[in-house]
Amino acid sequence: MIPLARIGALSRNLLGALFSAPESGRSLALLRIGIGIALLAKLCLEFRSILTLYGELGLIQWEVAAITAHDHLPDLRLLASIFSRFGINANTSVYIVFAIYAFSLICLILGFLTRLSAAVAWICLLAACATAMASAYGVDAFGIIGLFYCVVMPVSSCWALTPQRIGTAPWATSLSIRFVQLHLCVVYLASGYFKMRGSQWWTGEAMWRVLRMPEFRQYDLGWLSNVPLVFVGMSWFTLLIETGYPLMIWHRTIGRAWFICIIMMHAGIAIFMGLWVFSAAMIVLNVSAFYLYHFGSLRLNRDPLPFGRLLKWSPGRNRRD
Amino acid sequence: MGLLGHKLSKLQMTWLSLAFCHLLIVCFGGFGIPISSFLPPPFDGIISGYSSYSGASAGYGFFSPDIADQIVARVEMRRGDSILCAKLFENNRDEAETRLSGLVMLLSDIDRDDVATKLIAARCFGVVDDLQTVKVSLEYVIVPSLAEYRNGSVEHYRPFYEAEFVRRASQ
Repeated sequence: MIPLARIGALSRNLLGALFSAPESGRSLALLRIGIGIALLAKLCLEFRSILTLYGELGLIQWEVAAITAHDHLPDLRLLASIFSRFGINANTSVYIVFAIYAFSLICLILGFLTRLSAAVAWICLLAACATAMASAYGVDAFGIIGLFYCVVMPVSSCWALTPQRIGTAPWATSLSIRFVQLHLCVVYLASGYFKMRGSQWWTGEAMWRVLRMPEFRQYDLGWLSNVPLVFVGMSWFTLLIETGYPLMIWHRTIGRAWFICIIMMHAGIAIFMGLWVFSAAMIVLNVSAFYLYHFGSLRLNRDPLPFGRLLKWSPGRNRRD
Repeated sequence: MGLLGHKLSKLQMTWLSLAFCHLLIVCFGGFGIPISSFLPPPFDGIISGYSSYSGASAGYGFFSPDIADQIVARVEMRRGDSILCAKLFENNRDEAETRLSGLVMLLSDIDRDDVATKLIAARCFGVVDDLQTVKVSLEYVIVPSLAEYRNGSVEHYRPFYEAEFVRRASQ
């Protein structure tokens, strides 16, 4: 077979796998519920400081935040100006927006009017992030991504109070899950690539510094300094797991081990660095993208490599959950 | 409609195209390449807006390429004859402090330590009544290397910016 024809065959099979490799709607339901719970937990943790972080006269006043905010995004100042027409002051507006946000997250978790709930939560989170753009971090970015996916993807075909009827064709579910999976592959590849550019990650100093910094230190691991290979090993493990993720996660047996390793890595970040919400969000994304792929009972084939599966793909194997 | 030998409906073609474009933006964003800067108007604005709304252009360089020195803020607040001292961001135990610490790091990265100290001082004046002065000192936490730690070095602080703020007498 000439190379062009081989490339064509592979492309056809890849396309077939994107649309027709059967996937469970449960994966997307896990994404919906997990993202909802993680963001609700984050909101509970921030609740005491809402006005400090997002208030009109908070750490960064709205007038200042508006200068650095993205032109396209709605911010709390805009929402407060709408509420002010009803005689509601700025601080009360902030509380109202976050109450709406919390309510829509609960509806999202329960799968009640899911798309509408996801859209409302998404707009509220966008407004909060646009207002506190300078202090936003990883969880906010993944929250926006997760809620955006909940708006456009069929995330409530199961485990929902009002199951979605429109747009839940098997190909839509398959395509959605595939893109969550591919997005995660980009996340880890980019994260691993940027770490590889730093010398500290090769010598193990990065892991040592992270675990020693007062900001992240949960336990005193100073006694481990006599065994520097532990830190070198942990750093290399992180580099390997992240950069190898886009390739290895698809393999049937190695992929399972990779999945467990990445979950362990995030659990480690939570336990040893105290970044519980960020870790929870990443675990949710991984579980929704790859748990059923590796451990679910709905897979139809047992090929060791996805590309082996792609090559054996044939139309008509598609089925509903 | 046919694509590489598969019969796809118009709807499937549309979604596949949109998904491909989305993934492309995710790839560019993930690796820190500003895709909208390569595009002519009005596409640059459309892509930039879409990226902001969808989060597709988020970067993922967490804790990279190296781990920067942590910044803590030492605050001295004078009220009458008493002086209240506090150290901020040393142990970020809640989400708000984590975010504020990130903000101070960000401001320091762009050499706006003055803004960081003003934010902290304004917060102190707002939270504690009747303060006369607030002195804010920003300090790096210097973590010794593994070898230095084995030789007896421990974490220490190195001040790099200090500012004092005085409440004006009310007219």
